[in-house]
Amino acid sequence: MSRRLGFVRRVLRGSAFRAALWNAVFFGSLAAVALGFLWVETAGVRRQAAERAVDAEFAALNKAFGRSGLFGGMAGLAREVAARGARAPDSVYLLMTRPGNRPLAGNVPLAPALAALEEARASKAWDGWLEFSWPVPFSDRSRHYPRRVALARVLNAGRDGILIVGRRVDDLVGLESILTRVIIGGGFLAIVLGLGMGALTGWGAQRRVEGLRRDLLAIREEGDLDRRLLARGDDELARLAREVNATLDRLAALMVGMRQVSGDVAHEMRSPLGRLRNRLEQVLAGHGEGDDYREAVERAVNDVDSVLRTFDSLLRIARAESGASAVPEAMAMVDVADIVRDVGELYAPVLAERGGTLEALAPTAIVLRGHRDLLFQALVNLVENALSHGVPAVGAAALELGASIETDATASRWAVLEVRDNGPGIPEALRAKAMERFVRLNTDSGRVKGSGLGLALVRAAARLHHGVLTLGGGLGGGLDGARGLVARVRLPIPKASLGEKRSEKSRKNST
Amino acid sequence: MLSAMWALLVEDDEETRDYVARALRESGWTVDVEATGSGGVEAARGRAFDVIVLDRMLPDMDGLEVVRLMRTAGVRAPVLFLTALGDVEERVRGLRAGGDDYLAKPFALSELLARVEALARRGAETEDRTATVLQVGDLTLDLLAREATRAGALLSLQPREFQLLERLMRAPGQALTRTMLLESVWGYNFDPNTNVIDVHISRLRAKVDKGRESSLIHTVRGHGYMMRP
Repeated sequence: MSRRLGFVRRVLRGSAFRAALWNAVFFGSLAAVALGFLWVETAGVRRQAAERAVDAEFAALNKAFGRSGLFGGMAGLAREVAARGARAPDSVYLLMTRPGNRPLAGNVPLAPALAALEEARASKAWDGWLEFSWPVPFSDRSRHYPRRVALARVLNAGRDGILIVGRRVDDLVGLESILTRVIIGGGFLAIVLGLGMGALTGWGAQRRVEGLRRDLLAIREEGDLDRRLLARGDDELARLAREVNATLDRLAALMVGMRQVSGDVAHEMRSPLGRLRNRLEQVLAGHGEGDDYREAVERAVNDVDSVLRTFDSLLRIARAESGASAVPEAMAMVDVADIVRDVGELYAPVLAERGGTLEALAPTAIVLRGHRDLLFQALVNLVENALSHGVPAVGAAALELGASIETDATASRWAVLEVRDNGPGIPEALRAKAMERFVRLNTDSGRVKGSGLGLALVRAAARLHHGVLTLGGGLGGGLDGARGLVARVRLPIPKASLGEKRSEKSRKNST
Repeated sequence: MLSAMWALLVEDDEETRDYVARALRESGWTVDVEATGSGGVEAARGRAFDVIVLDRMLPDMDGLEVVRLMRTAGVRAPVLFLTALGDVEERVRGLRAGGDDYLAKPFALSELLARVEALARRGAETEDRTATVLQVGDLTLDLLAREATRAGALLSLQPREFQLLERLMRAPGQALTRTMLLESVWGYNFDPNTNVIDVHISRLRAKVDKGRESSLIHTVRGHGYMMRP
């Protein structure tokens, strides 16, 4: 029972019900105004007409009677009253003696008129109008209003008489009575219907929302990310349910990804740490003295450094993947063309030493909001990848770095940062995988050195800037003209930053 | 190393504290040690240290707060932050709070020593910053004309090579690590897997030292590079 009550309470508090309530109030008021207008225009107008007619008759009689003797005294007046009464049954006449109130002529019963007159006289603010009614004679019972009603004025007929003159207004009163009933009934009906509809729709909406809420609660409590909400139809609730489902899909994927990464990291760390342990054990076992010992310990330190570097990269990737909100202080207006040129300038001597070439083409400034160090690191990773894996089997290594602006079909601008080499490239089937953490592609020479995190960091950096990393074929170099790798980072340039020319340069002078 | 150099070390972790203090002492520093932020502030106000090494996470307050208190109290010694929080964010915050340099844990001892020395020197030799000519041995660097001459002969240097040489010459006799050089000459804080700095140094050496009687650019094994006549 209390559950029902609770449900009802919730429905009453629900938004659908409240909306229906306001609806009912609004339309009720609207109806009241419309019907009020109708009243005024029909009954109101007719009452005014009746009053004017009475006034006219009153004025005429008053004037006529003012010329003394026109009707030939009381008797003559009585004759006139009778004649008029017979001529116009909708008019009301009653002639009485004063004092005495004895009826002399007329077409209405005395008692109700007299009662109304006395009541009116007793009241202080009497405006001269009378309204009285009497029952319909049995023979006329078929009329719609059960009583005859008269609207009249009173005038003194000389010193001896009182004349009541007016009009019959039963149909007007009937009309007024109908209108009253319609207005009250209609208003009541509108309110009841409004509330009823509100309750109904509220109940319907409530049930659906309750259903969604229960499902979400179950998902939350059980931690079951495989459940989904029921989304039928196409209204907002169904769309909302679908949106929630899509969010749950993403969450589930992220969870899987996270578990995967944790597993991968743990797995990856075992190898170098295992090697380290072996090396240190060998040192302990005392193979060699002095310099050997020293060298072994130095190598052990290098191993540890390598592990630490891997962790560092993982942290950077994780931080980049959590989005710009995690690194607000690091985001600033940067000129990525500058960064590309700096990377080129840093590595050109390295290529030169090996007899190769490095060219950096970044002619125009490209300013956007970004993480300067991370973008630099990303480009460095790409260049260092090229240096270790992107070297052709024969001939000199050639590297090209580029920074340019692309405008797409929707007139949005993109900053395109590229690193192109003339090495063996990456087969198309392996390109997607290569960007994942800890993936090292085996070359012909066997086991590949490195943490396998380089491209993962570049991808995370691209995503942090709402961009993408793509890998493609590059400069021709080997016998197959399509070989080589092009690593392309595309970053959106938001419209706002086009107006900002200032780019924050690093401190280039020495400390 | 000049006359008695005083360092203040504020670090709550005992092992790190002993390790760093010993390394500093072995390099000739006199080291005062504190384990709390408030202790550090007090100590800094009591003596004019040449450098302060400060842990970011202390038991009683954040290292940033410690620096702010020190600066408000008029302590002008350069501050090197040590911290497990190594990202750019934290670095920026640390520098904004009044720190001068930032080193992430775990750090190589050589890195710490090199940076501590650089900070102390920076604090001591403020008059050199306005010099327009640098001189080490027979190598002269004209900062206004952007020219380098050795034994009177003009050296043809690329702009970056000039900057690298300038950085080395501003710290004669002091070891500069590869990271420090990358930071101050290229302006980026990053981790290269390759020996990219070594290549630049060797090109510089080819222009500055090759064929001369004495070398000015030295490799300090395990540390970095140094300019010394």
